Amino acid sequence: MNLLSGLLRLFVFPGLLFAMPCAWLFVWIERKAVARMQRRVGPPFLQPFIDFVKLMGKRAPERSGSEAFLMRLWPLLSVASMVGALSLLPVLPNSGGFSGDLVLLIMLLELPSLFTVVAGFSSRSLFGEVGSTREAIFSIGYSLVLLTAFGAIAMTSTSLRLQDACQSGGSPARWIALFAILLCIPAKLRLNPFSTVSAEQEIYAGPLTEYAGPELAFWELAHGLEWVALTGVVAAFVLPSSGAILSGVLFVVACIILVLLLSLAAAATARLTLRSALRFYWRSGFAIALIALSVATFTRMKP
Amino acid sequence: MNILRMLLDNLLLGPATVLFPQYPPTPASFRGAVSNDAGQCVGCGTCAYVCTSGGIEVRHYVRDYEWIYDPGKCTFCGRCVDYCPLHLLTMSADRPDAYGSSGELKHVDRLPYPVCAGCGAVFEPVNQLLLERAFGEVSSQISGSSRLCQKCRSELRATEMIAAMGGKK
Amino acid sequence: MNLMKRLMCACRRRSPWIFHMNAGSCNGCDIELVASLSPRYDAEQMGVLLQGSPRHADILCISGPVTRNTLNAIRTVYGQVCEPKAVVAIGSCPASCNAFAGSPVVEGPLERHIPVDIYVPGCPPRPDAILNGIARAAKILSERGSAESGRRSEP
Repeated sequence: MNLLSGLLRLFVFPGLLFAMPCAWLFVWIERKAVARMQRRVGPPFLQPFIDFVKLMGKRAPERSGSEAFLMRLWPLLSVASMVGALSLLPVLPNSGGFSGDLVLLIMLLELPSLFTVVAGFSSRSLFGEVGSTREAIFSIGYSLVLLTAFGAIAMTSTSLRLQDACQSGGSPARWIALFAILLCIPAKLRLNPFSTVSAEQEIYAGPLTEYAGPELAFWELAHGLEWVALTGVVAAFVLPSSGAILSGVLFVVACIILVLLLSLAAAATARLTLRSALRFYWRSGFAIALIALSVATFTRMKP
Repeated sequence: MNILRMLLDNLLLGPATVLFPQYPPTPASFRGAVSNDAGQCVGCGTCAYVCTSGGIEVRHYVRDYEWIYDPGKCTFCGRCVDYCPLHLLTMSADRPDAYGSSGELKHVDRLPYPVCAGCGAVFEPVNQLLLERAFGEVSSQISGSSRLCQKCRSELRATEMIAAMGGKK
Repeated sequence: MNLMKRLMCACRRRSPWIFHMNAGSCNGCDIELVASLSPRYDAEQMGVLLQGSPRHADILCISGPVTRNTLNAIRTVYGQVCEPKAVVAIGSCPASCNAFAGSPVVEGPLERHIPVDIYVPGCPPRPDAILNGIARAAKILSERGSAESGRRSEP
């Protein structure tokens, strides 16, 4: 993968230029679907874009000391890591990639939650710190499941290259691992029943309580890009490879189906407490991921 | 799965929302902003006295009086409507408008005191309904003297009484 | 650039995020505000979101006569809302203290302490009246924002 194709993947497809409208589309679909399931009308089509522009136009408050720099740094880094994760996704066939980019993808997907934790502490606000603590505890829960599931997927493929991992074909271990990943996605996206961290109106606004204006705009953008990246990871493993344009279209369609599924789960459930959510991940989630890893290991060890 | 059934029904039923700026109609007995039948008002001030929130004020000047109502201060309890002796106050059946600056919706009725047919001085307003309540049947004598001020009225009575007793002063 | 200004103006009007504060209210107005988020009135159709932090909001919705205990909180939170901002006073209490006027623990109408843009009369106002007030405040907000940016760009 040379520099030009790398830059194209980063900034055009499936990078920034493709992912930003996708992010706004997915966020809108989720809000509209949840609204319709609650017999409401929901926001108009361009609402996430309008929210983004409005937030860019607000004047963030004057900040002194280290906060001024750090509070502008973390949202930018979150967006950057998400764009990086998106550029690694093998949407188009034969899109190259490099050995070990599966590991890089996992790391880039984990970074935004890490940045959220640090962001809450950087804001030097009590509510931010409480939110950060909750996010940190929460991420211990789902990260275990997520990493085990990715380990199982790596086991079922021939190499640590994402391209090969996606083309390795379906196996029982892979489907179980993808199901485990799907269980973790609501936690990363702050959806019910795992919206414990930024429990609105319960602990003010979670880790991002003090962020305003353009900083908040980038946090919301990072959140939208997380939608695309996470649903994209599952979609990339689920879809068979086909022609160029068809792959792109199928990718978006598969992602939208996942978005609708997640919205259904979000509308149907209530928020779990921290303990219940952790118990769920450490028991059921980890059990499923462990089964996937075991099946993957045994099938690999068979002569 | 009860909740999934509920969500499916919600999707099939469609939104229950009343699209902005339309709004669900108010019932016929809705308590909205108060309005006064100014022509009949006698300025007794009962409404201002019973008002819970200081939304109604009655101010008396030399030749006229004011009935002042601010929907911004009103609590829409309806005590003024209940207690007005002449039942002149009504409440609108629609919600009051939002406004931008304090006191913008204030409504002032400036009503003149009646002028005496005899001497030209101002006197307390009189209302037909109150006369009926006081005297039962309102004769032409009573309605005639209701157009005079206190002083002229008592002079008229004195003249009539003297005439009735034989005309001696 | 005129196009950017018009875009920003339109976006500010169509995405009014609100933060609600209770300045000693009886909760009637608060209940009606939350009712305006319910399916029948659906504030989200206008892009209204109830936020958990004043830093995230554009419009501050305040109910209640300003009691002595809440006075400092109101002033602090008003300072925390980022520009451009607007204030909506819900109900008759912030406008005139209603039945509580003259009480020693009530610090008077809201406009004595912070600038108020829209008053929504009622005790409590209907949810659709509250939405109407928020929509008008969003319009004021967008005009204020464009006026400010115009002033800032002048030498």
